Amino acid sequence: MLALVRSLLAVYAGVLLLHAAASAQGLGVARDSAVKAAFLFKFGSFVEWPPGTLRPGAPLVIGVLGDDAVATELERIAQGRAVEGHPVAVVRLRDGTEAEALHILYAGGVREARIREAVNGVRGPVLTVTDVPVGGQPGPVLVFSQEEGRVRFHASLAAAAVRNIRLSAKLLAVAQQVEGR
Amino acid sequence: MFHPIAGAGSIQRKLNLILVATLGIALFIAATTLLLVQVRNEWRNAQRDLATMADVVALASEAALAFADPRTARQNLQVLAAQPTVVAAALYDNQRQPFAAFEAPGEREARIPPVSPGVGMSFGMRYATVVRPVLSNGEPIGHVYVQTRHGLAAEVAEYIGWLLVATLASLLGALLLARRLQRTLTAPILEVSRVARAVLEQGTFDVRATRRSHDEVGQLVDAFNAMLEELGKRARVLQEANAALVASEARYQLAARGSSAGLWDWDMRAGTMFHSPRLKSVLGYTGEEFPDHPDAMLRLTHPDDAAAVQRALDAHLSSDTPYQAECRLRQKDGGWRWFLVTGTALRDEHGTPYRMAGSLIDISERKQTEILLQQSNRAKDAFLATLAHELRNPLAPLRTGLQILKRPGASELVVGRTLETMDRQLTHMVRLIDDLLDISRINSGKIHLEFAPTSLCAVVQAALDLSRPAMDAAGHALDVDLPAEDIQVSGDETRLTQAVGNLLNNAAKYTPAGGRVRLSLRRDGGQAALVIQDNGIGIPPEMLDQVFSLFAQVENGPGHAGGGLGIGLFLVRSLLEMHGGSVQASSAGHGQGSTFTVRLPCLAETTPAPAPATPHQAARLAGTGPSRVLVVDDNVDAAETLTAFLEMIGFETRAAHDGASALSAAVALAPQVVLLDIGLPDTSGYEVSRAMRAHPELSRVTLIALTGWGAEDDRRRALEAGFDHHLTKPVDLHVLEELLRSVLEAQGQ
Repeated sequence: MLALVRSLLAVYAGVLLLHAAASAQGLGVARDSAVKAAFLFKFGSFVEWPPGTLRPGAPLVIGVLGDDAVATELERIAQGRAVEGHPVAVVRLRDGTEAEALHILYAGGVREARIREAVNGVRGPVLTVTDVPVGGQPGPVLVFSQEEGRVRFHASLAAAAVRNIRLSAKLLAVAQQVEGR
Repeated sequence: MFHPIAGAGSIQRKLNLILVATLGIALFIAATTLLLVQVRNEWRNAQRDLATMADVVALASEAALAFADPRTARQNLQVLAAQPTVVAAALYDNQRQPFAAFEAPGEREARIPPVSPGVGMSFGMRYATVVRPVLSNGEPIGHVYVQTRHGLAAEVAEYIGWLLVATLASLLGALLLARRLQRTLTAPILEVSRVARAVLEQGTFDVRATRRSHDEVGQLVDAFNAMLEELGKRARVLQEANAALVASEARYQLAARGSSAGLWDWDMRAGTMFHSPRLKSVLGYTGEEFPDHPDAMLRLTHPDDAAAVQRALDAHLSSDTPYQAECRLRQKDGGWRWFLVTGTALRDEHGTPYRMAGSLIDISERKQTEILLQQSNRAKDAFLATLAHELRNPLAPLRTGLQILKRPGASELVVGRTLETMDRQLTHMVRLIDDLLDISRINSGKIHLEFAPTSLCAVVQAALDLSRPAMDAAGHALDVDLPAEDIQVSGDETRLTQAVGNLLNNAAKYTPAGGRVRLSLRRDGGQAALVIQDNGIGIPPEMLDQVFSLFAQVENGPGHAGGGLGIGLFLVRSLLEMHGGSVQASSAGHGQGSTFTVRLPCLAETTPAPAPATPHQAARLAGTGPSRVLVVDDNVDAAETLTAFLEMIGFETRAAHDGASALSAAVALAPQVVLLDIGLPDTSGYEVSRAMRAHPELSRVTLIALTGWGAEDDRRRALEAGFDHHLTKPVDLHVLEELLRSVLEAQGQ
């Protein structure tokens, strides 16, 4: 039953993804949010955290800052699903300061300073994702981008090194651009 | 006809065939197994390779699919170009829609399904396709499709090719090797085969196969030779047995053909009876007329014999006594013939007869001879009885006469009649004995006839004189009718007279007293016909042919009126036939009288009757006293009567009764004549004669044999022993007197 539900969800996610690819322009931000939420969910499968930071059975905590649409979508996607055996917990963040033990942090919204502060302010092995290249040190590990109307992403090996996380070669293979290679 | 080489080729071919078949099957199974294992391994490897390839692509494409990056996906697929076997590849998303595709350049057979097929693998003859899921985070996010060209079929074909080459090479090598090795095995077998063929073709068991090895084949050769030995032995035995059988069969056939025996074989259980063709032909029947039925022979058996045959058969079947029966069987022409039926039954273990076989021999001639012998034997017995009777008959009147003569005081008339009767009886007896001796001579062919021209009238006259006593005694009237001209024949007057006299005596004997006898003689062409007719008891018609047979009379019962030995007519016929004549009897039947007709070839008419001889003038020798005669006879009475008679007529006599005294008496008497009996007690008359001839004083004496042996042989022997004359006892005294006078006359001269 669970498998069926999962596959149905996967199908749904695929449908969304296709829609996003086919008519990104038309569907606008809402469509992008769904795609981004799906990406955020999938990134966990292509990233290795240092040992001890993600114990077996422990939840994979994804923090969403400044984008309720994505958060909502992500919560929907992650409902009842696991990534590499870890249940997914979505945390809506009000400020960058209230950082908890996050594994993934997505900082969205329109205020770049706040995004930069949140991304650079968080400590430890956290996969940081933003919509824009906000810069600073160490900077976000992954940055969403657009290509031919479709959501893509850039990767920064330097930021990842700072964060002490490893991005899988597969992930890097589909990245639109990889910095520090 | 097989040629030995052809046979050899056959066994080698068979061995090769066996080799090729077994080796071929083994190689085929091994090769097929190898092939199957190889194909399976290849198949598995191909499957694994294909799955691995697809999985690698899937793994590489995980992210591309997960993050919807067709470009990267295409790049991933492009990697497959390095694989020469990959024809096409594609990625499908979760909606089974194509996401990215790759086709090897210049490949026409590339097939990319428009919708993702289900996960799995499929192999075609040249291409294999696989569809594997693309997983991400343990969830399928799409499919990868890879089409490759596999070399499986080519590999299998190549493999089969190599296997074929290897198999053929192995077979060839094995055949070449086997060809060398086979010779050690086939050569002895071929040898055996050759010998067997030689045996078959030449039919000789003398050939033997040579043993070349000590293995089972060697044993086979030994066994074969031993078998040939045994076969040869048996063939020889069989051949000998066969030859013996053939000889026996031939002998049997010859014997069966040569004898008059017919064979029969009775199958009692089947109720059938086999009669040999010979048996049927002996009886004169053909196959159809004589059915193969047990009763066929019995039906032909004479009713008088059937019971005896049945008795013999029953006795044989019940108590196994020999089956042998004589019976008459009816021939086809209705006549009866005598057969000797013999046979033996075969019995089963319970002693019950189930088959019987035997022969049938025609014994008619033997039977006839047997009957004749029996009749002849009976006739002889009767003859002897009659002979004794006939010889005794005259003795009674002779004895009576002697007693009358001895009595003193008998009147001269009585003495005269008595002497007449005695003389008649004696004459009859002498004639009887003469007849007997004549028959003996005729039967042994010793009779001697002195042929001379003879007057039949004289013969008839002499015969009439001979028979007159009998005629007169019976009181018969005799009519004689002689021709005016005499008839001359060539013959022995004495014998002819005897024949005619016998016929006349016969007529007198078989005619009741006071009968009439007629005699007529006449010329009938070149023959003289003499007919003697009486009115006596006659002859039954069925006896007419037999009256001339020896003993014929006695056969028909002695004791009738005349009695008789039945030798007279036989003598008549024999004597007449010796003269070239014949005699026939005819009679109207019993009591109707008989007629005998004699026919003799006669001489030319012109011969005149010879003048009657001048009566011999008995001249008593005059001169110097009485002549001396020595009588030698062991019978004292005979010697005494003879000396008494000789002294009555004037001789001086002396008698001797054996050879020794005869010689001394002769020397003492010095007789002119010696009458010498042949049968003497101490020696024979021949010996005495020779002794006298050897004696100087007796050499010129005249020796006269007096004997009961009157045959020509006896006469000849007497002359050889030195006798001058030969007289048969009882001697007619007149004849003796005549002889003595002529001898003395001759001596006197």
